[in-house]
Formats: sequence, C-alpha cells, structure tokens
Amino acid sequence: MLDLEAIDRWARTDSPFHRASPLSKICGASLGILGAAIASSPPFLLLLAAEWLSILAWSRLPLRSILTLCGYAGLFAGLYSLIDWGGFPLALTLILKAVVSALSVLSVVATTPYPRVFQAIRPILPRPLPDALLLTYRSLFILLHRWGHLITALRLRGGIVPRHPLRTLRNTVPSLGMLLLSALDHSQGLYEAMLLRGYRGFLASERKNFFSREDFLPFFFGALSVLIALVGRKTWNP
Amino acid sequence: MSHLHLPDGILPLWLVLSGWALAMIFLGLASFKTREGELRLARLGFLAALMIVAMSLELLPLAYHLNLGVLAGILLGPALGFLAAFLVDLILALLGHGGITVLGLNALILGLEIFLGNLLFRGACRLGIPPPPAAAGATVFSLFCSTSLMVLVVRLSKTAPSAILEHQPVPHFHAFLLLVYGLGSLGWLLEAALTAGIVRYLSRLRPAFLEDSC
Repeated sequence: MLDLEAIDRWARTDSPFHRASPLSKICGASLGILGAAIASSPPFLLLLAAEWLSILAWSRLPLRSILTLCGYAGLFAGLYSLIDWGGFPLALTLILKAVVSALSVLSVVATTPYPRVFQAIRPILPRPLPDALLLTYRSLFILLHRWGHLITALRLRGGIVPRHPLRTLRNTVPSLGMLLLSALDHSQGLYEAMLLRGYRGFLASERKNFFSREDFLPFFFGALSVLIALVGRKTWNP
Repeated sequence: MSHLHLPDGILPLWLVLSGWALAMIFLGLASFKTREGELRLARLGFLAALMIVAMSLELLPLAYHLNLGVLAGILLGPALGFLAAFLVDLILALLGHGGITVLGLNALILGLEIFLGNLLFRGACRLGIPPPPAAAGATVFSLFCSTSLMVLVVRLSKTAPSAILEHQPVPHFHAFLLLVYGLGSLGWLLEAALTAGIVRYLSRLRPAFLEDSC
C-alpha cells in the first residue's frame, strides 16, 4: 500500500533542505538523475547513492523507509537486467542507477509539501493538468482512507479469504463499486463547491518564487553528482 | 501489466525521448479537447486516484497489479482518459514507482489501454452486447495490447536503433515473454471479471454514468 501519509508528514518537517524552493530541488534532482545516467561504474554509483542518502539523513528523514521505497526501483532494475544477463557488474550498475535516480526524486517529494511541488511544475504542464494533478492527489488521500475502512470491514466479516480467491473477488467487486460510486458523487460535490468558490478554470495557488540562501543546496548537490559521474567515467576502467 | 516499472537511467535516450515526444503530442491533443470540462476535471481527479488505489492492490500469487484503466476509459472517454494515465504515472513516478524519464512511455502504454478500452466498450455496446460482458471483453483485449506495447518497449530497449530491423535475438527474451503473457493472461482475466462486476454494479445503481459510453 502506498504510504502517502508518511511522505506528506516528512515533507512538513524542517531542515535547510526542506526550506529550499521546490524549483531548486527539482533542478537538483534533475542533475542527480543526469549523474545517474552518466555514471557507468558501481563504485561511483555507490558514491552517488551515499551522497543522496546523506542529504536525506541530514533532512531528518527515516532512512529505512526511504531505502524501502528505493528498493522497488532497484528490484525492477534487477529484473530488467535478468532479461539480457550481461554479468553481475552490469546488473549492479543498473540497480544502483535506479536507486540513485529514485533517491534524487525522493529528495524533492519527501522534503516539499505536494501543493508546492505541483505549483513548481505548473508552467511546464498543459492547462488542465496542474489542477487535475492537485485534485487527484487530494482525492487519493480520501479514497485511500475509505478503501482502508472497506477492507477492514470486509476482513471483519470474513469477506477476504486468501485460500478462496474467487470468493474474495466476488466480495471485493461491490466494495470497489461502492468506492467508485462514492468517488463519482464526491467529484460532483467537489465541482459544485469549486463553482461556489468562484472556480473559472484555474485554481489559485501560492506564489513564492524568490531565491533564498538554501536554494543553493540542491544545485550544489546536483552539480556534485554530475561531477562525480563525469570523474568516474573518465577514470574508471576496470 | 500496463506500466513499466523501470527506473531512470536504464532505457536508451532515443527511446525515452521518442516516448516523451509522442506523449506530449497526445497530451496536447487531450488538453485541447477538454478545455471546458470542469465537471469532468473533478471526475478525472477522483478516477485517477481510484486507479492508483487499485494499483496498490496486488494479486499475490501472480504479482499482478490491478489498474482499472479500462473502467476509467469507459467513464472518462479517451481524451480525459489519457490525461488520467499521465497523472497516475506521474504520481507513481514521484513515489519511486517507475522513473521520471520513463513517464512518457508509461503514459503511452496506459493511455493505449484506456483508449482501446473506451473504443471497444462503445463498439460492443453498439452491437447490442450488454455492458458487463462488453467491459470484460474490452478489458482483456486492451490489456493484451498494452502488455504487447510494454513488451515491444523492452525489446526495443535491448537493441541498438541501427540493429532493430535486423531482428537480433535478445537472450532470455522468450522466457520473459512466457512470464509476462503467461502470468499476465491470468491477471487480465481477473481484471476483466472485476471490471465487468463493477460495470454491472454501476449499470444497476447509476446507469446514467454509463450513458456517455453506451
């Protein structure tokens, strides 16, 4: 299950990295992804992973949960490397590339409240998408709560039986149907509330685009990633 | 199956850029078609969220994730459906499920499933097939097509662009195909049963929601 509430909670704590603007963090993470793409040797990729992990630890984020989230990326990279097995070093390179990229992305979403992340990417998305993105994220919390209640009710009434997948499916369908109807009703209510509050096709958002001292941090760490990757590419020749 | 879980830095640049270029064209077209649909924007938000909730349900013995893409296609239509595909993949990428650079390709794969789901469901309804079996058939076929697109992307990623037409073999690729289509087909059937069940539930309680598509 997606632990959105935890990520939302992490984003609302405080550290110098948290205080940097979302735009600078997005630029820093992009440089981090670029570094992961350029780097081609496991030792330098490990160095990059250590760099981003230190940033996240410095931002007081729980490293075990962060590593679990990155583990998904590493796992799927590992599976991909199995399709065309080119030896252990290549598989390790692919896995580490995935982990470094995931860490860079998490450095943005785990340190920035989601409305601010969406506000920062608003200019690069076509018009209805930023509003829809905000609505989707908000709806996700509502639906995850409702789905959690429905699943608990199903379990308590014996509706989920691991040994009988068909019976479980038969019982799950009405629950998902109920969740869908509730989502559709909620969307109608939300639209009416938006109209009452003066919605005219654009959701107003906080404007806070000035640069602060902390904005140099993500740029610095992103540039450091690219530098490490370039040095690794030039010097590493096993 | 309609989602590449691949992270950043693995797929070749030409493939990533092609995916983004195509996704941007479809996003532009979809956004242009939905400029005035505020009510549907709220519905889009909730249905995209519902897809993410469904994706968090894993059918354990198969390691298969549900996604309800066809259901979203039936209720949203192809244009808003493509926007939903992009939003779902963007949020998942921000949470570390699939890379940011793979987002374009992921949106195309899920978008294809949604588009075909809508098209086939409409077509089947016009032929007089009742909504639940129409939804089941549309789900199986759409999932087959989106899985095939995903397989094609993986196959292309393992080959240099200059060698694509030479059909160079990729080791272990047949095993990969067997795994994806073998386990996937069981997942498609389960998802088809689930989608048909939800459509039947909806057609009994609120048939108005299906009127646009059927």
